[in-house]
Amino acid sequence: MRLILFLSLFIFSQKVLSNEVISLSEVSKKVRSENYYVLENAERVYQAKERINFSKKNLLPRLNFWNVIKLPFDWASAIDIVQDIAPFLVPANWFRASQDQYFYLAQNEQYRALVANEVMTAKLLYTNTLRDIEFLNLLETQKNQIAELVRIAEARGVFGETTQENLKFLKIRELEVLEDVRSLSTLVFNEKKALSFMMGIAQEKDIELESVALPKLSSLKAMNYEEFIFRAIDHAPEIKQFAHLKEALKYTRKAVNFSFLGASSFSSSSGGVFSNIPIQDGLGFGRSSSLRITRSEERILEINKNASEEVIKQNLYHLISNFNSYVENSEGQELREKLAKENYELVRSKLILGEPLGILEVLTSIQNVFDASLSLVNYRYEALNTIEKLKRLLLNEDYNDLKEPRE
Amino acid sequence: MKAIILILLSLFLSSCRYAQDLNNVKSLENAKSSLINIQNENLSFENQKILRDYFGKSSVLISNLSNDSRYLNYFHKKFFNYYEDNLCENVFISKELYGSFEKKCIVNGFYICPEVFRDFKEKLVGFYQVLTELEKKNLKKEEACLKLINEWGLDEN
Repeated sequence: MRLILFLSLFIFSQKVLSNEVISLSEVSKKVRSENYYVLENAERVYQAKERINFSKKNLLPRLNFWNVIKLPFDWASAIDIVQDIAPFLVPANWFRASQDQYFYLAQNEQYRALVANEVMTAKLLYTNTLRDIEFLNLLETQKNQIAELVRIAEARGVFGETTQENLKFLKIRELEVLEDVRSLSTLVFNEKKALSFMMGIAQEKDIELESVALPKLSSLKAMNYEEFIFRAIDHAPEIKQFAHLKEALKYTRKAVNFSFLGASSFSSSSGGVFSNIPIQDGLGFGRSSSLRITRSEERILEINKNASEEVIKQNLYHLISNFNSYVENSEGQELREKLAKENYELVRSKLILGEPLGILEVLTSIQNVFDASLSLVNYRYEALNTIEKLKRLLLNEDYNDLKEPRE
Repeated sequence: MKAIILILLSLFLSSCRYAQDLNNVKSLENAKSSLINIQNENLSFENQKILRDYFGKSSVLISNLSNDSRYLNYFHKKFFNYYEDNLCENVFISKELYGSFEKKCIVNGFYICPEVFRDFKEKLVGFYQVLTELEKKNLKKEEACLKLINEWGLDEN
């Protein structure tokens, strides 16, 4: 018995503590199926769908025991139980049932937007982590280069060719780089944990990220805003939800018009979307005000829709101008790195051959290689991130088939 | 008696809606001619609107037929009333025209066309499948229709 317990504990701990290797293509699948916010929202969409059935079925007669036993004492209260025995006679109940379908469709669009945003955030976190790992590798290279320079400077110092100030300066720089390596390692560790959370992976597990193919900057072509804007707006769930909400609002207006036949006794699934529109229960003088409020609500929806469209346009302009700037700068960046590396090799060989050369000049050369390499890596990852953001905006590839969460 | 009147009234009203919908087939003629006018142009914002107009309208018509059995029955009943000899020529588009737009839909690796455009072939196959044998036979009598059926490979599905 103990052996079985021990073995199962051992297997469990192995399962929990083992490393998991993740590829970029797996991120989307994992976020959709395991992300906590996505799962929560999928349940909300499911509830909205079930609410349609609830409202439809509620149109059928129901039995409220307490209302029924009131009847023998007070026959006038028979009118009160119309909502129980014949809820379908109250037009507002029909409107609520129809309205719930549009709330469900709007909720579905919100779900699509949420999943797309979560998938994009996770994928960007993945690529940013990979970029930071590459930065870490570049820092390690710089650390080794400086360590080599310190050794040479110390040897030269014996012959009086290097001053104590320069030697100390180099050692300070070496310590700074060491500190940067430690900070960046911590950042990568934290990024991996954040990514695990987004993919619903237990925090106890370590994840390893597979590398991705970076776009070759020189092979990219500049983009034109005009070609992309139509799809960005036409296909955006953020815009589509307003069409459904507008349709839903029509039913609130109908409910106001028919409020003299009583207000709906069904609860709304809108989550308070139109709860600010007062509907009087019966014939009264508040109807015209209620109608004016529904019209104002429609204007608010239109304003929000226009604002969302402008935000999408702004994002698209921003992404395309960034992308085009990467394309324009690509040649210069690649040349900069090449020259910096060549310069370092020249300076290094002079140093090894013992030619007169200032230590700080060598240090500047090392720093140039680091800056140029860092900048090029950064450009490549930024281009990759911009492409990913454009895919999200245009709902391409991973972002396109964001179907209903639960059938 | 009241119930019968209510049922008849609702049937009458729904058939009015279907008749209105089927009349929209006519509006596809204009949408198609606009498509032909822009086939050699770039997919600008305005041109993409034209693309969505044609494919959006046809997609709605076909989806309604596939999803609403009463609508489908009404369609079968009225098929020969609405059918005109040059229907295929005026309303439906050739695979070549579709292909000329399809090529422009990928820019820098991104898909930029409306989603209704991408799903068109699937919808067309769905539409052809809901036709009765008699309706299909009638369509094939017209040369333009037969050409389109063969081009799109509708009989193969």
